[in-house]
Amino acid sequence: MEAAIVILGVLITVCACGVVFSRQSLHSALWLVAVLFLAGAYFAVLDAGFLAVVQVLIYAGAIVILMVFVIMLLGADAGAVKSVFRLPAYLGGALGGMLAGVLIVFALSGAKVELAPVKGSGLGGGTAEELGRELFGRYLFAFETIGVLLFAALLGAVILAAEQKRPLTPGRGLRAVQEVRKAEIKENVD
Amino acid sequence: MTVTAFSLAVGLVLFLLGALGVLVRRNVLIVLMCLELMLNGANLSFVALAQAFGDLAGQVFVFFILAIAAAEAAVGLAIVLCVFRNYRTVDVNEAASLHG
Repeated sequence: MEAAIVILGVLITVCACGVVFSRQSLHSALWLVAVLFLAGAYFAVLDAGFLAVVQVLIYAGAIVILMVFVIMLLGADAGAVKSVFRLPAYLGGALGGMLAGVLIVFALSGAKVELAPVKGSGLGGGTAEELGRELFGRYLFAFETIGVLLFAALLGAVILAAEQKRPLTPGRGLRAVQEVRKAEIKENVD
Repeated sequence: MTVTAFSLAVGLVLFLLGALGVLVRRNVLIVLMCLELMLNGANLSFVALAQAFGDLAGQVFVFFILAIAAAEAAVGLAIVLCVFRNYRTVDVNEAASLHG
């Protein structure tokens, strides 16, 4: 097994622990950048050169920046909650132990997994050209659908995050009720 | 242990760490980041299997997951902004008005 992959895997695990266990959200974001960069390097080793670039551009370059922006918008100390963890410590420990158990079982059985010869996988590096050919050939419909999804998400984000300057105006039904009530009050006064 | 098995194990570790963070952390921003960790674990598994089988389909799916992660981050952060505006906190336990 290539030494580079082992080193990358260990580093990714360490940085992921940093994301999960950091006390401040900004530290978590920085650890997340490290995880994403390392995952990009891992992709490059696994014959996915284009995805490695896209990973760094979109994830580390756009998504994490968005998160850091929101952290700064809310104030970096907005994360000062009463306690960092939702669950009591013993429950968290039990959960972590269970996950570790799953991992160990997987590692023991994974040692026997022989999927395919790894060298000469026939991917040719996963360049933009090959990936584009697939994307605009076999997966054209899915690609267009993703475009629609992104558009909907953009609209939703704008509508959700936009500051509402004026209170919601009552609809037609509510206005009718209010008019009836006004008329009743007037009658009572008369 | 082959490269593929090791990569799948790393993907699983990433996914489980992300799941642990989503379940355990209280800061909603960190919960979102842990969600990204889980997506990255899946991505790593996809790329490893694409390489193992010599099929580009896995890499195309990673591309789609990237797009969905971007959409999810945008909408999720907008929701975080809304929650912060209403509750003045990013603690997920505080936003429990529907709890009854």
